[in-house]
Amino acid sequence: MAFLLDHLTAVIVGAVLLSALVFVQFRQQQTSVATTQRYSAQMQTAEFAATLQRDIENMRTKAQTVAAFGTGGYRLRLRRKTGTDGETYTQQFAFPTLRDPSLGATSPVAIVTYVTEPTGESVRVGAVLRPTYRVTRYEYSRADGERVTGGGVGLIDLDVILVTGSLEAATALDPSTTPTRVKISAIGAPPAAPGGTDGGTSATAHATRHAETVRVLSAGATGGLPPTETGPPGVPPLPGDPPPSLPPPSPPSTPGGTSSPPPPSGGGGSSTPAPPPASPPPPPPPPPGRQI
Amino acid sequence: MGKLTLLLVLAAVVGASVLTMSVRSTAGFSARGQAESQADLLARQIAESGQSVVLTQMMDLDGFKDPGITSQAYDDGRFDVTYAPAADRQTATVTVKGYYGGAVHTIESAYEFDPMSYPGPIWLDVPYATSQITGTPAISGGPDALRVQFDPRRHSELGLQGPLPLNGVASDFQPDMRAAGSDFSMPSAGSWPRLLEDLNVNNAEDLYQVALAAMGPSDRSYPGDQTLSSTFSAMGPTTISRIGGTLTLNAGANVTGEGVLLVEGGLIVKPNARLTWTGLVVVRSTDESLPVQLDGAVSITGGLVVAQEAYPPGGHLDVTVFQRRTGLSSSQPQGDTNGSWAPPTGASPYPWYEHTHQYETNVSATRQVIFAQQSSDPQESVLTFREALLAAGSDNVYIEFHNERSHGHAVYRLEAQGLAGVAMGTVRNGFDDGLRQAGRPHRSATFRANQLRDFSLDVRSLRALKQRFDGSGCQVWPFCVGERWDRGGALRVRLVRVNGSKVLYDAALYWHMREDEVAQHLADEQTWRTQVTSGTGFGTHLRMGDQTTVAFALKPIVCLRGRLGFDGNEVRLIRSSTRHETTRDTRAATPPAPAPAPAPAPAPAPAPAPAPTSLVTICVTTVAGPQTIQVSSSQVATYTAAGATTGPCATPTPTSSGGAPTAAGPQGAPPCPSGSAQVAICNKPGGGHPAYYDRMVSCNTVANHLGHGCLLGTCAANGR
Repeated sequence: MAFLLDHLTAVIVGAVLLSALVFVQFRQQQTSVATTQRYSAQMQTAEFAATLQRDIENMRTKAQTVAAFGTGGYRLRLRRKTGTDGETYTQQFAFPTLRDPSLGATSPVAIVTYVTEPTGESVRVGAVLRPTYRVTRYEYSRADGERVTGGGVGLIDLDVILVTGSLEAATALDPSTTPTRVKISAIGAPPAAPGGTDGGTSATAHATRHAETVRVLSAGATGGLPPTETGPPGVPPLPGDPPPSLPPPSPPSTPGGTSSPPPPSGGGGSSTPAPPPASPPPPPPPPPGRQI
Repeated sequence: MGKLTLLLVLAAVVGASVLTMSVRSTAGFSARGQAESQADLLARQIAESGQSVVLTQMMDLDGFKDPGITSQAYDDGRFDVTYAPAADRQTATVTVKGYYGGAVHTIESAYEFDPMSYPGPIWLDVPYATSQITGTPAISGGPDALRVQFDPRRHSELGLQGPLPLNGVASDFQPDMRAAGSDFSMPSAGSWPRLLEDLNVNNAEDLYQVALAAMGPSDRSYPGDQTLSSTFSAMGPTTISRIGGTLTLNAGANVTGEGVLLVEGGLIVKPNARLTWTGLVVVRSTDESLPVQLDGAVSITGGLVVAQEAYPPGGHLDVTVFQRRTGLSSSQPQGDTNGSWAPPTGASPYPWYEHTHQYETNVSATRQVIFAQQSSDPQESVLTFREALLAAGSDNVYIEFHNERSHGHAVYRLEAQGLAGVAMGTVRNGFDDGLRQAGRPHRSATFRANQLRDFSLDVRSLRALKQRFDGSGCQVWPFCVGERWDRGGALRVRLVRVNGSKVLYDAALYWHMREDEVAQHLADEQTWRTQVTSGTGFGTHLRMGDQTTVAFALKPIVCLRGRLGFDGNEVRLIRSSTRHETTRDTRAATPPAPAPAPAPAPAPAPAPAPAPTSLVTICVTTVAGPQTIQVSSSQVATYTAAGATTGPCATPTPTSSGGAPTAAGPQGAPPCPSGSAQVAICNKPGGGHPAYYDRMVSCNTVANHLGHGCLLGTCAANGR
């Protein structure tokens, strides 16, 4: 009897231990997969931010761009849009930069455009359901015309703010002025964690936020014109530009995805509001010609 | 039971080991990613810091210089510097590379030296001037060949175009200055703000006042007219030497000096006298006729500045007082109306408490406004400052100046029990440290109202007040300031109660004229103009002899930037570009360690080194979405079997330039069409392998491998 009891106890204990080990291994595997996914999302977001950062750091001035593309070839555009969750995101960000930074100042100039488009899916971050977006990078150059040079980056949010020399957000973007700094904030949309899916559209995710303020090195540069390239002056419409047949500008963005008004034509613009009204007039002077 | 205990212990050890290894693997995986991100950030910061360091080191007084840095450790990284100047040292290209943990950030910039702007070897801020040379004096304008410059604004302010047209000045100076090796110019009024922007002054009078205000115990001051016949030295490149009247150097005098020489009168260097000065010589006077006679051996290296404040008679210093015992407010900014002055007819009363006229009718007399004085208050009947103090009782108050930038050429004196000392200085510079409020130089420290002893203002510059006398846009001169409710931005002196920041007293100081003074003023001015026209010597009279040398030099003037508030030289950015290599980029670019040479003997060789193969771009679909990667051609079949397609994905991973996809991009596990599909991975070191090594694994296990730090694809494709 003792023999049977001993073996039975050993079997039970062994089974419990085995189960515990299997459970630990299973949890560890889940953790590893989640870590990999989070790392992947982090790296993807970081690489996207690094690319954007590199482009911004090498942003060209209006004079440098006009030297490359001719009059009317300068583009500095920033459009915002409101997503289905009511949050505003940067829908289009276009600016001139170096096509190949490794060549330094001898590099040709390219107009890069980052366009953010909804994927139609959403993820649950904490208790909030956030739509996901895909960012695509377009590049226009004299040599190759327009082409897609990157994209497919999954994000929950992309926010770009142009900053003036006074370190305050540019309230009225001057298309002829290169911003001195650009604040970027990107929130990565990692793939769903195991067991968190809900029909594939509202998976639970750990958001990865990447934010920094990038200094535009060439802001205020007085020279540094790019090498001469032949071609017709100007730049074709950029990806993300509103079609020319659009009705007159609509009011500022409202929840539900309304676009901001298009910028003024010719050489850039922004979706930023108009400057505040002038201060009230001073009180009227007393009657003239009298010593008081 | 012993066996059972042993079994339990063994199981616990095995479980803990497995758990620990897994945790360590995961932690190491995360730590590596964080370290790489940190390295990227720090390399960028080091490069930017290096650039700032180099910029400060390469600035010289007259051009760029070698910063003397080629490589410098910075925090735990370092930056390398390449400096390539132009031959004239006016432009330079600087490349700074910041290194940290495998990341490299490069900033390449071209700069242009932007010397501090300055008018020229001789700067005349006078209403009118004549020139006379004997022999051939030498005037040079430095590398930029600056010319002798005449500021016509004062001439215009006085309306001298009729009696003394400016073309007379030009026709007099131009041939003389050309004979002296320079030239003469008369920039328009609109050009002067740009010309003087680096000096941070509006005119030469400003420069004089700034130098006067900057004087300290280490400087030299000699009151009244000075006549020298012997040797005198005033050395020190940043010292200020002030002569309180006309300076006359008789034969035999030998004056040598550096820094600033302020002469408050004429400057007369007679034959056989010697004046050698390196820096600025500022001659300033309020006389109608100002002689600058350089007949001796004069050598000025730097610049000669002449400022003459010669106004026609008329007008007076005026003070308007706004007072309200309960404090001024936005609804009644001008205070009580009880004592308001009523206009003769027709208009509503002007709502200021009281104001007065005729403190001074003689412009050459001292223009002193005594708000409070310990022994008595001689001007209290019109200033009513003591009355405001008494009303405030023992409340904590402070004094505040406004519009001091335009009208700051006044000297204040403030003494109160409770203050750290007697406050004295120029309104422009405000109160000294310890006697001012933090961050508010023009607001005094707090004191009790009934403990104030002395407070007065001595207006030093008539011009500063007169700028609001008949300012721009005025149609009914000379009543412009008087017509303005706010007194046209005139110098304001306020007494403020600390509690609630209530303004208890507000006085505006300006130059003004009463209506009944106009007739007398017009008559006086007509007399003055007649005298000017008749050639009685009105204006500045510059005379230079054969031994006079005025050589413009920027160095001794830039040396004074700390004392006189000049901006100094600047740098202009011509162009700039940057590039960045992340730790992963650097690692990918590093050639893998050569495979060990095969042993000559037919001994069993380790896993054969992969043969050099070409890279093929394929598109794999991972949990992170479609992803473009490059793999060796021998692995293409494996990937396509796992669902990959050759060629880039329709929406490739973003790249910085040219669209070349990155091999080491974010990786996810490929889909597994069948559990037996084999996928190539680059396994992390371990298990007897000192480095990453190629390995084929089951598709189902790829995710686990990636989680352990292995890489998708061959090691060659991953740069391992």
